[in-house]
Amino acid sequence: MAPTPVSALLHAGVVNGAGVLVLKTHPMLAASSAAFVLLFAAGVATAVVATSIMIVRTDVKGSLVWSTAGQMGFMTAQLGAGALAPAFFHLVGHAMYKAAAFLGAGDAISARARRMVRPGRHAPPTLGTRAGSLLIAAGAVAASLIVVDPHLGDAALVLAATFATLSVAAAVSGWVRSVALPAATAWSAALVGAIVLAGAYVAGLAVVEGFVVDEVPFEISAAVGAPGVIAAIAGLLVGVAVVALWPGSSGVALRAWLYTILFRAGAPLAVSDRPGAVAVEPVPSSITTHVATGPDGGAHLTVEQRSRLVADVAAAGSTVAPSWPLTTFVAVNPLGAFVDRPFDEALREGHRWFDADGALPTESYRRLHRDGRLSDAEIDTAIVEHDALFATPWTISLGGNEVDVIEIVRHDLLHGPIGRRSVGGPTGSVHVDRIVTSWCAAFADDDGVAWAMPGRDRGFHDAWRALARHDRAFRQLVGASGLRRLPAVPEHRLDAIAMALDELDVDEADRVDQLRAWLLRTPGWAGFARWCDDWAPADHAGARIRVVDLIAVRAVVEMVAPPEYRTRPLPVEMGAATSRDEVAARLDSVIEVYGAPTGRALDDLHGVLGMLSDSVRAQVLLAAHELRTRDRILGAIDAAAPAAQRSVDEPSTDRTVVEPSTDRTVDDPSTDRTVVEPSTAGLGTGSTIDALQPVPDAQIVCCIDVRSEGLRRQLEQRGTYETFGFAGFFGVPIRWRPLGATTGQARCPVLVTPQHEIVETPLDDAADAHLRRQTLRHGLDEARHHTKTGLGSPFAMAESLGWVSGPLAAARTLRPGSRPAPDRPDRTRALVERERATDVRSGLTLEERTLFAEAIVATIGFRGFAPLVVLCGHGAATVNNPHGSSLDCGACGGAPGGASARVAAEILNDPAVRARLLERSIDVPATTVFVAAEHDTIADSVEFFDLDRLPAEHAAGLAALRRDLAAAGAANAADRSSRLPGRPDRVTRRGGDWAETRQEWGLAGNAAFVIGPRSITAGTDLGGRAFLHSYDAELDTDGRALQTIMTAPLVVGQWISSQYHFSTTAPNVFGAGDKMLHNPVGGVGVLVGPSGGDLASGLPAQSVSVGGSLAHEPVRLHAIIQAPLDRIERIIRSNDGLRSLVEHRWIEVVARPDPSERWSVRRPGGTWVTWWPADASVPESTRTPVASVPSELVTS
Amino acid sequence: MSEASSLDGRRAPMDTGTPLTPMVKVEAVVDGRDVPGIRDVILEAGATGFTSVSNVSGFGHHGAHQGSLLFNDRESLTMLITVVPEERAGAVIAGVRRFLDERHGVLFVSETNVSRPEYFT
Repeated sequence: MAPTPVSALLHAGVVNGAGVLVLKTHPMLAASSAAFVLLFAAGVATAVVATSIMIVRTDVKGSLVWSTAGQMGFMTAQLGAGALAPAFFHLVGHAMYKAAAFLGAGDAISARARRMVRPGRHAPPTLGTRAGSLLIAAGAVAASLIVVDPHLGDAALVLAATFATLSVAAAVSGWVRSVALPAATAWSAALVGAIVLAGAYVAGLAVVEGFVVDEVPFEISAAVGAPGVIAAIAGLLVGVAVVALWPGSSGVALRAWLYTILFRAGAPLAVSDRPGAVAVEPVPSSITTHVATGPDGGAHLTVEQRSRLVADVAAAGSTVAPSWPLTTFVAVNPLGAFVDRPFDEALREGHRWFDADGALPTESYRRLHRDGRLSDAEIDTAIVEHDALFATPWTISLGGNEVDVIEIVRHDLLHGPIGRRSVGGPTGSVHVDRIVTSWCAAFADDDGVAWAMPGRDRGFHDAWRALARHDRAFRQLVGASGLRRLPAVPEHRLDAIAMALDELDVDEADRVDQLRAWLLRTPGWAGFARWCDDWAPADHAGARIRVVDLIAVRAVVEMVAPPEYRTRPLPVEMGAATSRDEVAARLDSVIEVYGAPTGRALDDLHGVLGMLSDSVRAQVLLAAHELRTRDRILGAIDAAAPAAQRSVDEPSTDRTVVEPSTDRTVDDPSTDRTVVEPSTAGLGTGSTIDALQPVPDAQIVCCIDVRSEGLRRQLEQRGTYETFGFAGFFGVPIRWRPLGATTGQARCPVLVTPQHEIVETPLDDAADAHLRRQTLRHGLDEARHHTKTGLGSPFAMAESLGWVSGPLAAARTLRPGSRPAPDRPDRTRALVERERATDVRSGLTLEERTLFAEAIVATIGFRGFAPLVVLCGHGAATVNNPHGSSLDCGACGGAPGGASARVAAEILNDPAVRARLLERSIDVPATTVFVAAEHDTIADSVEFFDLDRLPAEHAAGLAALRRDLAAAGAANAADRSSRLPGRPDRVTRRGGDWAETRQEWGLAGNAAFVIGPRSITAGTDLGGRAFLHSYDAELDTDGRALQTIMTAPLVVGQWISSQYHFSTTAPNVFGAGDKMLHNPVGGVGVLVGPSGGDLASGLPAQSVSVGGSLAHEPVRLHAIIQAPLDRIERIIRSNDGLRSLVEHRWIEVVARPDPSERWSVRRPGGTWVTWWPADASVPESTRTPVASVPSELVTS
Repeated sequence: MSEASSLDGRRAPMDTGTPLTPMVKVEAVVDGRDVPGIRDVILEAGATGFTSVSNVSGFGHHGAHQGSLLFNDRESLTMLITVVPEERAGAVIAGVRRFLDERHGVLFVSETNVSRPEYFT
């Protein structure tokens, strides 16, 4: 959510000071007619300008800010016209309205999501609609004024009548244009609504005036009487009409000019504080001479050159990870472009291109060490594994003693001085950044501002070019000479980019780097552009900023701007860039403790310390922390296993294992560890099949999400239940179209493009009520939206609605809701079967259903079926939370998983599908029923679907299960409450609290991804730190199920892990900042703060930390797999993407063929090393839970 | 193959009884993630369309490539095929080659014949 209490206070309270002052001193002012004329004029001017700016703003808070200014202007005009009591009514009403609007600003994204699924009819109003709306509104207002008679004076009457009419007319027009009702019904309803609105407004006015009449007179005679007011209103109407209707190209030019003036007035950028030369040097004309110019002065590219440039732009674009709109948050690896290189190298690229760190500050790890949460042994192991130099023991002579080099390095890591962090990312000008980002925000309006950026249909670059020369900030930046050059820049974006590259003298070989640099000055919008280019659904109706456009805009600005504004890529960093002074300081620190080096020891010491730059030291410490996390998790798993499985000899205590450099080595003679080469040893199918277990009462299939672990563990303790983990879309990649929606949305991992749409249909009339509610709600939403964003309509609306929304906001704060009620219809069915054979996009054929069913059963690994099999998706219902979808199911593309569960259950219950399954030797007993459910991860409650289908004989079983689920949910919630700040008893109610910034921890605990039967983790409290995917190697004879798991869910898990990792280690680039400052923009994302800037990507601070402590411990994902090692190895080797992730250590793989063997750690190249904990004292002795969230880690 | 069949020279259409028009076929096998980039290159260079075969498998420079992943059609290899008149082939090839300087993949160029040339121009 984005509550901004300070803004609420400012806009509700502080800004009203002047109004109160005038009201209190009106007898004094009344002595001067000039004062009133002045007030009126100032008020009208303010209202007109500020409201005009408001209607071009695409960010919620910016629009609210200018709306307040406009409203203040209106109120001042009321005062100037002598309408004192109406001004008081407005002052208080608007204050309450605006406070509520600021506090609830975080709802903009969910409102956008609603409008996406149920888009209104956005056709511009016809003349008939306008006239009808105006007529109805005027009639209703006039009637109300006659019936109620609020004793207004002439001027006040004119004001009230005019603006009430405009408000009501806008509401009527918005309603009639969007509500899906027959015209006659819609208009009749509009008439009733108009009478109610107008009546309430006038009555409210009268009542309030009645209360304050002793203090504030209704009206005092002012110099600006009714004639003045009428003249002003008429003048404004004419002005608006002229601007809106002026025909031809001069009209277009006029509107472009005015739009730009207003837009920039609302987002002022001061360029005067730029560093360096202030005087604008004229650009030497020689620069352009080597550009071949065509008739329009533009560069001429040959088709080959153009084609290569397109390729370079695409290559540059692939550097940045896509950033999904917040309506469907998808976790991604922000450094995903670099997964084809080793993790360490990718971190260097991350620093070079994004100024991002990949590990916590060194000081954070030192604190961990001081707190006993990182041991010497773990650090030593990480040092040994970091570089071959440390693989064999050697010493350095210090103060007459031979000191182990590892000890020296450890000392340096833990106590050596830390240098200043070097700044990464392309160098360039923040002023250019701001110009580019402000126009991105203007263009990326998905939510229909009243006055959208002109020319948006022509693409970002072209639309911007048409407005650029009117932009004051741009003019100021480029100076007069730059403006003169602008017409010479080719109109076509590719030609413009080519010209800019040419002027900068960028070699063809360095071109991609320059394009990248331009793009990555604004990584947030670049990520959005990448989404628009590569991931936006084909039917995405909203704004698309293309990567090539974003680059072109920047290139053009910099081409015409003075040279000091140019963006340059950071040169490639040469390994350990440690300065001589820094090494000297660290050398001193070592000598102080161990004594002076003798002989050639000084050189050795220099060499060792010189190769450990600050970033390398942080990475070694990160690796140490990862080792500890891995050891804890494996230790906990092993500790819970029967003692018989732990018969392997304990390790000796000397130096930890080092993998040999050759692949063929089976036994490493230098240590007593066994190194297994995959094709040679110990890779049988493992243990025999256990004796058949008793049939459980129910089987519950949950999402692999780390949040399922707690619920599963709690449930298993409460009955004979078997639980499974499976990707939460249950293997059915679909588009889901809920009842009443006009369009479907993908409910599957973004790696899959859904081919089928499943429609929710009503079973009987029960759904009608829901549909009616939806229709009504949509119409009312649109009515409000139109009134709020109009030019003259917001005034009466705000002043009257405030009297309602103010008290409601107070109530919402004092008594926050428990759980936002999901607006779901009763008695519907997912229409899974294809109804018409020709309709290839809708529904599934029997063959398709059978294939899905087979994949589900095979991948989950059922050994038998309980009478009741629950497919339990998950979601999190929140209010006022732009990042709400980040708490939903990642496997469902940032949506709740209930619909997918319903579809999967329908398929698996289908007798025809079961008959086909039987042909394929999958026997689902006739007595087994699949039931769909959804786990709300905040309320920790489980809701069931389609229970009307459940045969009566299952009722008792279900009732028992629901009872146990409720108890398990409560226990899980209690468990979670200890990790969340705030009152433990409210842990399940945080979703409904609009003031809550931290509804739950989401996937913040993620550290490991366990692939194996539940039996290996059952009974272990993994503390929500592991994804759990069920897998039974014995059932998966051909390895296909494991391949599916490792190439899809594990990859998605890695994205999630990386998203949390980099949102934590590089919060300024890959994190979305403080939720309190979030400013939703255009329905696509959030800016941090009202002044704009780059689009925030990644997770907000409140998702990964609390206060200064981190709730997410950034560690690379550990895949813990129980399967034959040769099978794992084969899958890794034959799948490009996965191989890259594993070989380059984005994922660390640990595996064992069966519980009788020890875990082995996979090393790059495919060698497997037997796992022993780095710190022998840590695991296996007790059944202590794994380190729980939140940690005591503290950021510096 | 005769001399006349080089890309630069004119080439007689294949004798199949019905008249066919010579064209150039460009095939690229790339990482699924790079498909949008190649697609941009192809379309900007003037191709009127392309065919995309996802989940292709094979063995090559970077080892084995498994096809047909069940729930991931983004990360396996994709083959993009486009057919263009000879005068546009240079642009397509230049662009794809340039793209493959930065990313993994292979490019095949061959002669082909089409029956409805207006589809490709």
